[in-house]
Amino acid sequence: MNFNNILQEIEKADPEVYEKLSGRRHILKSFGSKVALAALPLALGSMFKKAYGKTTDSVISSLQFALELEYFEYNFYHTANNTGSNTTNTLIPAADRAGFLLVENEEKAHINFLRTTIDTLGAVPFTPNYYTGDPITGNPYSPASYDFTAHSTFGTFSDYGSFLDLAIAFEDTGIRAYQGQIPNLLANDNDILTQVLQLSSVEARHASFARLVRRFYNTATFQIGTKPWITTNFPPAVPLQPNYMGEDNTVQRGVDITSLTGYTGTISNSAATEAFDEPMDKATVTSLLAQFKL
Amino acid sequence: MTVIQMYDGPNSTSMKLDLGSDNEQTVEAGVMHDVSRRRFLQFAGGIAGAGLIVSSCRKTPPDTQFIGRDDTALMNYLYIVEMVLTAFYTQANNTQYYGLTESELQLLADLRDHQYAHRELLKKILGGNAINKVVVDLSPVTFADRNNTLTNAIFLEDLAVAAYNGVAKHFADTSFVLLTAKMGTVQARHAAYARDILSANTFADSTVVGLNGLDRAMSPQAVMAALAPFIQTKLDYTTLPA
Repeated sequence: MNFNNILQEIEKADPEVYEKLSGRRHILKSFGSKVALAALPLALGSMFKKAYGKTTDSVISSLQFALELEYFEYNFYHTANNTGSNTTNTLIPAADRAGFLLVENEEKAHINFLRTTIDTLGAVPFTPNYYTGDPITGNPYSPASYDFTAHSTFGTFSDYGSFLDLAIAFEDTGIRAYQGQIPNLLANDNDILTQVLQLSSVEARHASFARLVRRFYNTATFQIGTKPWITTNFPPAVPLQPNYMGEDNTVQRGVDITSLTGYTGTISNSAATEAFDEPMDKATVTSLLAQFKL
Repeated sequence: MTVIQMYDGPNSTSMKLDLGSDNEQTVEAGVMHDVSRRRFLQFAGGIAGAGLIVSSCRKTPPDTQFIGRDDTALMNYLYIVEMVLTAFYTQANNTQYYGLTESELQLLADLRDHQYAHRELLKKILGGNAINKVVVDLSPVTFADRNNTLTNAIFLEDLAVAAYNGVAKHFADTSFVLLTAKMGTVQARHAAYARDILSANTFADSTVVGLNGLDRAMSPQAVMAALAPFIQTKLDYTTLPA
């Protein structure tokens, strides 16, 4: 066991490790030879605990997962917003362009926020497959990492309706993914839980927007079943049904919402499902997004 | 002086719209200040609505209610937020604004029904610790006017989002965190919807989302202060975190 090698490995992952360990680099460097080998794990344990607080591996891995999703979404919108720009073949109609640019910019802001947070916690931020940029400062656009058509299953960037369906599914699933991570953040005594909630409510705003646009797309009036919220487990398109499994839940904390008093009678099944988003675990989310990744 | 009480469903909060000329109304920032027009529209909207009950000079000063401590206080606090939203959308449905479209009609009922679901769940969880229903003051709102109604909806929904985001870290019983988060993101869907039908592409603009891409999170005390114009009942909420 070579203590200096361990420190050097940590330094590669977190260049500020010495600052976090009170900046006593020389003491640390001599540590290996002066501290009895048996006492070393204990000494190290308390030292790292001081440096990194109560931040556990599960918090960091939740944030890494969130960053993975934000990369995914950013690349999806960035590609869409640059498909046919300034030509007659523009994917996104003029009326909606400002909205999807706002979404893209906020996904990028989320990437930057999560990168910084993960870096501060002493880990190397996630990067997608085939990403070549700097994990902290690089341009997050990474076309080699994704195939948003899922091998031509979806007309993602050629048909606006398909794009909207996917935008809806990605945003809704993003909310579910964030909420699925909440149990990992409860022991944390800093602001990460709050910040994750602040990120997820922005995703909910995005979902609402994409759903409202879809409600009025390609119809003389409006799509009565496409609302800014999720009704039972209805997907925006049939192939996206797996993203909505479990969204038809009507029981919250043991209480069947449809048994509660509504405006007239009891609360309807559709309202009971719409009023609550539902969490989704990481493995399920990962499997759902796999077809869009290279 | 005449107090008009709006009937808002079989089991829900009664609301008072005081139309007396001596009534000093608190008007939120961004809400129309044309008092005489507002009162006319309120009156016209009220007459058009169903289930109107007019009583005269009934004014009982409500007792101060203590909302409890710790998690009870926090859940009662969310219950209060949901009571205001439920009363707001119930009235908005009963006296719909002029120019309501078919699409808006469908979703306006949804908004009300979601708030009922939230409010009644919180009440059920609180059980015997639930405070009595507060008297919601909707006089800051001109329900006959689309712009005014939506502006107030946006104010209340954005506030609810900030409330849910800000309350989570205070729960001692951490099982409340996921439960309330699931409700908070639905409030965010509402907020974005109300914003977008009032002004396209403003669903997540810089008035609520910071440069770091984060929505707002507000402390319970800050939310209660912002909500004050909508609540008539005297409440003791000093136990809430600042």
